[in-house]
Amino acid sequence: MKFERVLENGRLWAVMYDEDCVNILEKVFTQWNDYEWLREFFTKHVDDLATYFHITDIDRAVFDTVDDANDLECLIMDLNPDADLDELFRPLENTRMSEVILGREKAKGRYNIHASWLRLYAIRMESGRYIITGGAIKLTATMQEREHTLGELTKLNKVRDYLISLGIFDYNGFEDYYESID
Amino acid sequence: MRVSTDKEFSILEKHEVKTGWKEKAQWRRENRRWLRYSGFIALTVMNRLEEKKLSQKELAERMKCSPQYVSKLLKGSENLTLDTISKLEECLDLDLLRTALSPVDEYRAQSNHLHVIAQPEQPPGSDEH
Repeated sequence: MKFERVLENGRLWAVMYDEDCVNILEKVFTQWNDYEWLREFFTKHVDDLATYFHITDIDRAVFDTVDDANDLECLIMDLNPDADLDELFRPLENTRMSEVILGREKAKGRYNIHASWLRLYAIRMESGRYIITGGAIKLTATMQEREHTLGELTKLNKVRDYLISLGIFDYNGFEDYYESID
Repeated sequence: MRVSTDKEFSILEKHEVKTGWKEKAQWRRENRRWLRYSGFIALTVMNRLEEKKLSQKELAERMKCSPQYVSKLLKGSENLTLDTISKLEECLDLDLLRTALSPVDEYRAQSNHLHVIAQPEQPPGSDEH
């Protein structure tokens, strides 16, 4: 597992998993712009789409996803160096009230025609510093309900465990780790 | 909020990977308009294949091109030539150009209109995992 800087100032990173040749952010946005992949995904999850979003037209779901993904990608690209990333990411657990070490976080798409089903998932190293671990099209109420969103939970835990195994508990630890292998 | 120093950046830079994410994202942004047309054509072709119960391989045979090219085309990120579009029209009995030139924006407008009639709801229970 490696990490790629998303923001030049080192406040946002993305994981590159060993089996991939691009970071997870690129992988996710490539999928969200792949019409064949999206059509197959929504064909498989057409019942969720109808139940939770009252949408039965798969073509429409595909176009909405591409639009939403493009806007989200532009938002990330255009993030001001001083932007408060705590505004973009929120705790994964809606009930979390206190700070946790390497908390699991989510960011939602900003689609304005209907609720966005796009999610980016990240580990919060400290206030304003995040590592993106993955992304998903979330059509159901909970992540455990579908295999692909459950997989994102697994990835969040895997990255968190990996960081802890390296003795990284915050951004200082992240820097210290790199310094130690320098 | 803590600001990292130049030294900290230089240490991290030695070990991070660089896969050119930003360049790819920038490319998508700059080519967004024609990519949408390409996507529209890809979806129309996939729907037609399903309707006619044709495989991608069969389409490739009809078009006299490789199955790999058809697979690429269906991702919606190929800058298709008029020649390719005409072949697709011929092989699948479609009128892609006429449909695609009125097209995506009109489709969007229609979608928006439909949305006003039937407001989709947010999934219940918000975002608890």
